Amino acid sequence: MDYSSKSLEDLVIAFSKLPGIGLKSAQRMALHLLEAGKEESEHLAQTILALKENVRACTICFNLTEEEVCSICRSARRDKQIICVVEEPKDLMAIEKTGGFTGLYHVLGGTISPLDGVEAADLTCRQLLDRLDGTVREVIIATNPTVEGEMTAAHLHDLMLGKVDRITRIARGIPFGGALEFNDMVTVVKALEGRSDYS
Amino acid sequence: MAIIKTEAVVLKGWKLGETSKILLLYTKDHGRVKAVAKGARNPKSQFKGCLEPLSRIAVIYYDKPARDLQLLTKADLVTPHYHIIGDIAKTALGLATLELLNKAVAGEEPFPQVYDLLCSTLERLDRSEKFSEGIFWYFQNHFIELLGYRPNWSACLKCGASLRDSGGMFHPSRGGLVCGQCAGGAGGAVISGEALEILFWMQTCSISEACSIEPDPVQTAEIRRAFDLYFKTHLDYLRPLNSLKVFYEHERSKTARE
Repeated sequence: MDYSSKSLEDLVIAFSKLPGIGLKSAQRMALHLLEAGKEESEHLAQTILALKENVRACTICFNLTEEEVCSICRSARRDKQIICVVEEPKDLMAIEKTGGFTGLYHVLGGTISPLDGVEAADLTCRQLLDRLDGTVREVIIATNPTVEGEMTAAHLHDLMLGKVDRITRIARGIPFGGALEFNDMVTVVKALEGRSDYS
Repeated sequence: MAIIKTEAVVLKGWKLGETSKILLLYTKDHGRVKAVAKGARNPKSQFKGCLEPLSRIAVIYYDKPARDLQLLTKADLVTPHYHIIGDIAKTALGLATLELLNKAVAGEEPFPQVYDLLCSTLERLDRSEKFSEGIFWYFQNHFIELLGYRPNWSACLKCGASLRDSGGMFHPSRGGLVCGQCAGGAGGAVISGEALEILFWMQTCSISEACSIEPDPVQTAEIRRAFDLYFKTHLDYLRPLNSLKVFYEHERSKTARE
């Protein structure tokens, strides 16, 4: 790279390592910080450090939190009889944003992915089983509808069978606002298989 | 830059940025190709669900020889594998097939026979209701033959005596099976005549017959070991397969539950 300043170059390289940031964007961000006041840079640096120091996994559901137990697990208003299993904290955030789910969560930390060498033992499946102590009535498996996500869902189903009254899977099919003719064959078939009573 | 229109099986995929995906494809006419599918993870993407591993798709991509990553512009499902998805055993076996192929084939050299074998393996795996592992055994038997290492499951490599009744011992230094006499007490993995009979039959049977066999647990273990040793001896870099580990683990826990 052709930068007259080593510090600038270092920052551009550091930013370009972030997901979705290319060299050009990294350069723009670095130049912005250079032009901005010192307080802004200090605030950014401190925020990043605080993130690394304070954020950890909830000891119950493995959601991101600054306490030992996250606010969702601590909340008295959540329905403790339903657990929704998701792959990553970002999936939990996506469901929380909707405000349509009032139960608890369990973050697996990924999916079984043989091609990447990820096995069930690398996920938090055992900890999920430990949570099924009789108070939980339903577990919703909300892994993504990918090959790995479906494989993980099937594995969880086998693990939990007989340990909880109801194991459900989030619906798969035609997205809201979509059209049948523009969907792929797998989606259409899964939508037909997962049809529900009109109510 | 050329516009390539061909068929492919998705071997692997990686997330790229917010919505895109990098794919490793095994194409019918150009062997292994790496391509980027821009916006593939966007719910409104034209690629929708057809870029998952194991999918057999018709593709169009821009090919620039100097570039490592080609640009995928269109993909449509040719054969959906409805029954593989969600079935741990079938998915693990399907992924093991992809893993083995991905490790063995190199570069953009077409190998239509391997492509056809891959497609028929996945198609049969999708439809199988009985012994799905038999289909993976069939694939291994024929794949290694296409690579030029046809196993001899019927006779001693040293003296030529038939092993199909007596069984044999796997001798890595000889690259295959020898009879007890020729092994000369050198040890090695014992493979029974019944297991060898299945392996030999699989070299000539059709793929639809491959899942009709009903080996007992001892024969199953012997056949698994035979393939493992054979691949390790001739193509060391191909093993171990992570997907097979998942499959064996699933089988173990299924047996334990029963």
